[in-house]
Amino acid sequence: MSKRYKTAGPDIVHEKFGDDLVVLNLASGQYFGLNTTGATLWEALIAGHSAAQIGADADTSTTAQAFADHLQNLNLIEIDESVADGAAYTQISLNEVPVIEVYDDLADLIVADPIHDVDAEAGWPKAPAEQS
Amino acid sequence: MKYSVAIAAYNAHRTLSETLASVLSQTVKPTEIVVVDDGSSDATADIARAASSLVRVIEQDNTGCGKASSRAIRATTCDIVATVDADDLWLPQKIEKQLRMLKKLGSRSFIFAKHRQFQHGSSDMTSGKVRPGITRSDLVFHREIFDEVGDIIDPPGGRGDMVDWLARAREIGIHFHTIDEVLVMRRAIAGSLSSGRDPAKDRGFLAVAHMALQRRKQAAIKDGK
Repeated sequence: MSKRYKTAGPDIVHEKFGDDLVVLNLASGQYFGLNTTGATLWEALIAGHSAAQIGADADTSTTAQAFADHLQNLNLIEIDESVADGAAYTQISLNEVPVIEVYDDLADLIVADPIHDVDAEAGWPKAPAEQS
Repeated sequence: MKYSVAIAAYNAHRTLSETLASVLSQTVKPTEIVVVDDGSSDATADIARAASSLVRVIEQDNTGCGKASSRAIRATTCDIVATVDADDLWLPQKIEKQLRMLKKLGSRSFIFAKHRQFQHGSSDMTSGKVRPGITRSDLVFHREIFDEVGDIIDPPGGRGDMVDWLARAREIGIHFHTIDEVLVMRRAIAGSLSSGRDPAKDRGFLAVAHMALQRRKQAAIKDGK
């Protein structure tokens, strides 16, 4: 539970809209909605805090680690090998299960958007043929 | 079948005459071409007027691509509308083939076609990447559907306006059909709105995703009642 994470490359972008955190994978066009607990954990994890650091109690750390594993399986975060200590973190206790919901309904439209037409050398990192 | 062409143009002097020439070269000619000049500081409006007597130019202060596109579509008078970005090119049979398909599938269908990318300034029109054309330059549709879906919204940063509008159309049951043939040439210009990765412009896609989430929540609340 001491693993640290970062977002899985420049394709993964996120923003808060009021209380709603939205995460988007620009390469696949999938987007993700997180509940409040999920958003809290997301922000702590991508700031470089480990599950052990985040949890004020063992249950919360376990929950945080399971959530981090899930985010990693969704290819949204990856382990950050640079082991610099993150800034001090106010530990939390979770009283709600973190939830992330996955949506595909915009995927074909986002992937078809002209930004994906741009060649790799001009900034877009993946040729269309390489996208899954 | 009569159709109108709707074009939003902003400082498009480098490309607009070529785009209009490709529209005017269609095997099925348009009844009118509405060009909304979205506050350009160059000769966009003059170039549009000089292209053909079929062109009607509406000049306005700069509002953004979605709003300008909406104004262009609203100003059309035919039952069928085709949209094109002010820098892309249509191949001559594009509209003919799409009108045939639209007639077959009916008014609650959007007809798209595949497009091939080409580099601005290059004469290579054959080796660019071919992509599924679910974009503004590929679309032919019935005008009445626009009123049902509502205006095209400009997300912050400018990108994703058509992602949002097309998603809203699909949510009200519009069927998408893409003709499996390259009928559009999509221009890539370094520094244009759609060029390369740009976190400020890409914010638009996040805003579009958030709007989709909100619509989903509202629908769930409505269903729950």
